[in-house]
Amino acid sequence: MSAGIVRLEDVHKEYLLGTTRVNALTGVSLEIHAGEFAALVGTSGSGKSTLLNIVGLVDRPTRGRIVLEGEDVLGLEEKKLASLRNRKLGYVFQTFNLIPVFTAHENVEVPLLLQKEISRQEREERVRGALADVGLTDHAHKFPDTLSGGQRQRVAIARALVSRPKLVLADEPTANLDSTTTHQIIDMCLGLNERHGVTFLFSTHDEKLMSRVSRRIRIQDGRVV
Amino acid sequence: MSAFTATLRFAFRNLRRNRARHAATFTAMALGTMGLSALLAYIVRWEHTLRAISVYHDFRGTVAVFKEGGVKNHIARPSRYSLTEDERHAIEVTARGFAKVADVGAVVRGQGLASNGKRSFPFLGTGIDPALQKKFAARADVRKWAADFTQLRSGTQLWETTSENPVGVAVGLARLLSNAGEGVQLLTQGFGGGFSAIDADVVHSYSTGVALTEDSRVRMSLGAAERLFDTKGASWVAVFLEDSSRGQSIPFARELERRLRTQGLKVEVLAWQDERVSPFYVGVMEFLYMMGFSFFLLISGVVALAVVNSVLLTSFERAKETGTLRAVGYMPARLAAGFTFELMLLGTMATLAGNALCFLGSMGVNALNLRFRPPGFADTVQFMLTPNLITCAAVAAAVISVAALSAFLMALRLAKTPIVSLLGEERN
Repeated sequence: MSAGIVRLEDVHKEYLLGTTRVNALTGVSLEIHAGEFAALVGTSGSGKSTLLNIVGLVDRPTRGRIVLEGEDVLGLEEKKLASLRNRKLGYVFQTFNLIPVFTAHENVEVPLLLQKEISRQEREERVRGALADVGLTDHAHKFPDTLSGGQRQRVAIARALVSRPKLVLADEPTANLDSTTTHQIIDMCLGLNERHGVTFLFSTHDEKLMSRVSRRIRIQDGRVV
Repeated sequence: MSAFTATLRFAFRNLRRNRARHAATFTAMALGTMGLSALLAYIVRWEHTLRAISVYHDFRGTVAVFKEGGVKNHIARPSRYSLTEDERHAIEVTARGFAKVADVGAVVRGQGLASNGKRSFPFLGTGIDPALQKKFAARADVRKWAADFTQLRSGTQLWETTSENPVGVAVGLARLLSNAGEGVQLLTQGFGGGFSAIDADVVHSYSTGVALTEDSRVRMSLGAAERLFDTKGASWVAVFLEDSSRGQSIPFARELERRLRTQGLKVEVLAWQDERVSPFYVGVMEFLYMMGFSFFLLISGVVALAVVNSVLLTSFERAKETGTLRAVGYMPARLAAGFTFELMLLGTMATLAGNALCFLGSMGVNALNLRFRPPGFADTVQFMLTPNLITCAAVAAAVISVAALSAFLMALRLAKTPIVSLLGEERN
């Protein structure tokens, strides 16, 4: 088996909903390996998005341990966490979350602007390469509101890929797409996984996506089952 | 694009979103700038006017050299507190030894009775060198700022007459004497203590500018004053620098006093801004500065509230974007800086517009020649607004700073919100 990129050990997440304490995750232990094309599956409210957010370092568990490439990340200061999010993780959102005042090209470029060691020329090449990988070379200078839903999700995937992350996290990436576009997006992600070895972890309850992943991690009532 | 270009581009393009909201914020900042710049222009006008009056019209000089204790007592006890001929000469020579001194002139001031042969009225008379008075009247700053106070009501200037004892009489006193343009007898106690009198020719009437002094002031040539008060000394010696700003006058006063004291002269050298020398200037300017500061606080508050309101609404609207940028690695401070930059950009445009409005409005107001009578003034003065680039730039900097600080604090609060809350993720 390939090396583990991220490992979760006995992760719990509680939060308050009004005055009610909700246990979103209860003792989740999990490891994602390099090159995997995996999905967190479960019903609405099962805790899969919470788990994805915790793996993506955009949310903190109440307790437990998260090890990213051998480093326990929970004790790290926010600056270091931000750097890990920028360089080692890519995030694809259900609603694409593109910056509306930036073109597709500029949206993809956003994460690289934080990486000072990358020259302008290399940055341009990587942005063009990421857009080519998702088949949007001809749409690079269009603004999000002139792109279709599928094209927007491709831009979001290109943005997640451009930093060459260890792991791409995609939260319900096909939920806002029609059937044809969903197939195209899944094919594209699978192609990136097979060609470039990009590791994907989805959260989904889309049967079409679930049928294509190599590993399904079922979440129920905040536990991996 | 570079990170800076990206921030700039982001800010510019964001300004095109929610144009109505940005227009409201822009308007608040532009009007605030216009108001503050106009207020400052008004204060600056009075500062220049009162400075010109104090330094040149009232002959205080950039600094005035009195005998020790003389600033308070030179009128009441001239025999003890006026400068002697030797002291006056030593002061004049020492002052002229400074390269930056433009002019030096002695002033003789004293009180007495003015009579038209039938009735007598008390007066306070000031003797000045007509040649210097002529020179000062021709100065551009005096003509620009104090024109309302230097024009004669009737007659000719002291330097335009061949009379041996020419005097100018304030309009109120001229009315009492009922014979402006004719002779007047002036009777005083000389600086030496004896009685003294001259027949003087009233060559003009003038306004002192201050209602309280309109019926008691007389000005005369220095020679006439020396004869009237029987002195070759002086009440004070006025020393004029080309630049009478605070930065020049106060250090110069200190240095001149030091040099005079090393010669054994017991004198006090006071810059014209000293309250003991220019009480009217100090009183009026303190009031104006306090008023200006109060308005500044008020307008700054309005601008800050407008900006906070705008940033608050914008931050709710862009919460998901902010969360997305945080999720890809951006730090809160950097995102807050982006918001701040956006507001600074808007602020820069608004302050440019506000200052342009201030300049245009001032031109209009000045062209209308609106006149009013400030409290305590003898006559009306023109309502004048004189904005300049320095004050407008200072106002712009203040407004932009207030906007930037308000925006930064609000945006930082937003950007520090947990990422999942910003993204509005449902936990499922």
